[in-house]
Amino acid sequence: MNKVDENMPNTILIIEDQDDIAALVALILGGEGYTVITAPCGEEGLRQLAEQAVDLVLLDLMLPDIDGWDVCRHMRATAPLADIPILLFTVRRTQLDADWPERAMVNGIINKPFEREALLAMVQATLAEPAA
Amino acid sequence: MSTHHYTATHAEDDGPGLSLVTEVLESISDGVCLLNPEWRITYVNRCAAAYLGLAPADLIGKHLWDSYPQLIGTEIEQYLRATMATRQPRDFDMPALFNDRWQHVQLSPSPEGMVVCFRDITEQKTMAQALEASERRYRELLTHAPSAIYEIDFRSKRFITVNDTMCRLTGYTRDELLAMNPFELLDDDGRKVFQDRISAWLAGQSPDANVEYNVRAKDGHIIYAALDVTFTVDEHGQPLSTTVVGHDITQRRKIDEALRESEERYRRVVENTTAIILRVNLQGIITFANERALEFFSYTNDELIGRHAVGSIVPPRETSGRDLAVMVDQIRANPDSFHANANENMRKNGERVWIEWTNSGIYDAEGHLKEFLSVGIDATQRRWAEEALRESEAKFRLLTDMISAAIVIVQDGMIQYANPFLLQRGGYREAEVIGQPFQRVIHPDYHAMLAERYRRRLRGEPVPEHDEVEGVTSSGEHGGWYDFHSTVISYQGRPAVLITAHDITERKRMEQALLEADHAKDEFLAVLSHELQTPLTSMLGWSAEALRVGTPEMMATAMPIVHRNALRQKRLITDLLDFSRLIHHKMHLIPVPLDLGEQATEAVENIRQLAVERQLHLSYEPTSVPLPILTDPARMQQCIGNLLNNSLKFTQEGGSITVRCRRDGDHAILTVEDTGRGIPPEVLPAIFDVFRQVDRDERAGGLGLGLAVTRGIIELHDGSIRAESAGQGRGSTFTITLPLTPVDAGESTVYNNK
Repeated sequence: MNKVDENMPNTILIIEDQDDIAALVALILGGEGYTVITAPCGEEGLRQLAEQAVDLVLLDLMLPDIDGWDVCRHMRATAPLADIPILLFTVRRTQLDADWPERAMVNGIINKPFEREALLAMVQATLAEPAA
Repeated sequence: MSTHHYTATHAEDDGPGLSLVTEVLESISDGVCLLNPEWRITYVNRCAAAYLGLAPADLIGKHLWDSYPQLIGTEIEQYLRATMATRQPRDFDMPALFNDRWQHVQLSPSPEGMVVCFRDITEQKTMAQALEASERRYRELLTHAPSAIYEIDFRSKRFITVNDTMCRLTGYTRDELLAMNPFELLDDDGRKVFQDRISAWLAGQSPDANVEYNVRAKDGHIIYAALDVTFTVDEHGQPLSTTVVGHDITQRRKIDEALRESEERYRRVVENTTAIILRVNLQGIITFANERALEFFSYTNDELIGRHAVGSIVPPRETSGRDLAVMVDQIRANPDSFHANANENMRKNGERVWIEWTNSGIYDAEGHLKEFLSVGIDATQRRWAEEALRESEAKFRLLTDMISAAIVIVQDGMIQYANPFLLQRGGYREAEVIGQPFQRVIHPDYHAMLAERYRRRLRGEPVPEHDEVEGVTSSGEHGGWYDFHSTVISYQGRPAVLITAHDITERKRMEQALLEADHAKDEFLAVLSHELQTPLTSMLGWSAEALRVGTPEMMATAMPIVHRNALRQKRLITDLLDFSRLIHHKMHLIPVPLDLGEQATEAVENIRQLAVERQLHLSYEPTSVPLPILTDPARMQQCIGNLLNNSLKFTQEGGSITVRCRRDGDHAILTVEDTGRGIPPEVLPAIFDVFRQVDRDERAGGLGLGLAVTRGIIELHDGSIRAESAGQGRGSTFTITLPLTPVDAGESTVYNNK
């Protein structure tokens, strides 16, 4: 579900188990006018996705309950969530550099540690893209 | 016929002349009778009267036809009347009228009537008849005899007579033969032999009967003939003619030749064969031995013939212990039941040899067993070869029985042999695999690969020297890994495939372990990176944000976060360094005598605040007995602290953590028991292996290096650590066992892990 009204702030869901990082991202994006909600685990993230409209998901891969990829798969297979852009928010892993089929499920990758400006640019660019 | 000639002049003399005539007439052996024209008998001499059976006086004056009415109507009456009427003399032979004798009758007219003379010709007549019969028989014989019979005139060199058989045998007609030179029927040799026989005969020698000639028939084929020849000569002793009786002996000749050839063959076989040929009579005595037999057994004919087989060429007992005397008795009783028989034999010098015999009985015309014939082949070499083969086979078996590789011989796709290793490895009984398709022992996952390998081999394409395949057990489970190598051999005279398959299960397991270890290391590095980057992300992000905003509030918010994450990273780095020291044997302990109970108390107190914060029930059950140990206190606190921190991390609010100390013999025991999420059984054995247990669940508090480091340190104390868990969600118990310090041990010792 993309932003419908240009004047309405975009809602971004951050699924991240590290509280300090989730708080940091929320601080930065909130400061830029986005509505930010957070989930400390995959199940919680999916629950929130089911409850409210979200324009973008920032997803950590290493979650304490379910695999980040399973969150992607669930979203892509669930009609109202299938079009929500996902930005992978993860520590760079060498095996992810190789060809991995899951890459097609996400719209971009933000590597941790991240630069504030890079995060904002990526979020803005992704939200500006037409729906897939 | 002209022996006596009476004339009418004699009969006409009368007076004294008559008396002389009468005397003569009375003395001769011919009958004389005078008849007058009225057919009265006017004179009979004594011989005639004797013939007629009456005295002359009773005959004189009698009327012929009245006295001998039996003559009326016969040829004799006609002759008599004709001569009387015509006056012409006549003579004829007359069968016996009055007895069984023949008469020659001569009728001569005379002035007084007629003179009848008759003479007994019975002898003559019989001989003539016999001659005639003989002649007739001869001609019949000549014509129809199964032998060719012919006469040759030497002067004209022509046949005089030839019989039908001669024509039939030679294929010529009688006329053709009669126009031929008889000697042209013979070849040069035959003519010479014939000439020699004539010469021999003329020289008074009796020629050989039945000399054989080759006679050429009209169509060119040779008739073998035995010619029996008799000669006639002229007054000068020169041969006039010859009578030849020829017998066609072609058939006999052929039989003779066949017989001769057969005998020749037999002789050749017996003399030249490499087979040993013996004849032994019913008493077991050798009656015949061919050259080969004599040579083979090193006997002369005289030495061997007449000896009993047992003791000469047959040892009484075989090396194997078999009683050969009994065996020979059995052969003698029934040679045919020992038709094929192999046994040990003996040369003159006692050397033992093996012979394969073929025995058969020789029976007489009545079917009684006379002797037995034994034909033998020296099988010593073969027996040796067989024994060598058996030995070789035994060696092969021994080798294949002992070798720790699977060995299989496959012929026509079926297993002919499988060594014990394979059987044992797959849990097979021999009967389960022998005669079964080769696939029986290969895991189905590899059937297609092996089939392709086989097809390629059949097509002559190269096949890999080695392939890795998995076996299958008798129950169908994976039966270990094999390095599969196959080669074509000859097995029992036919091509087969010898498969040697080395058990590489251990290697495969290690490869797999290595692969897993590599994977674990990769995972470890990934997690390490994650664990290092995660606090770094917070530190960098929060500090940058604080600096950018620059407000005291922002600083106050950010600084504790930065500090907390810095501590986390420090702890991580400490664990990494400790771990690195342990695996590189660089960790040094400085142990001092301490009490384990006191150490436990200290560690428990260090985390009490945290437990309270997390609402966990932390209890410590000390022991009253002293637990003196030698330990590096900082390291011991690290170990107990790691266990307690794990329990804190994995136990939910409301759960409990219990620490106990006790003594068990020479050992001090410390246990940390929690009601936390427990450890799955499959993870439990690897819980202390750093590269193994890296998993999402275990990672929750970091790299999971803590337990690996703890174990390393405890082992440096000559102690041990173990983990127990009833399973996921059912808590865990970690137990440290350390040696108690001996009572007199007061000195400090430096432990290190070199």
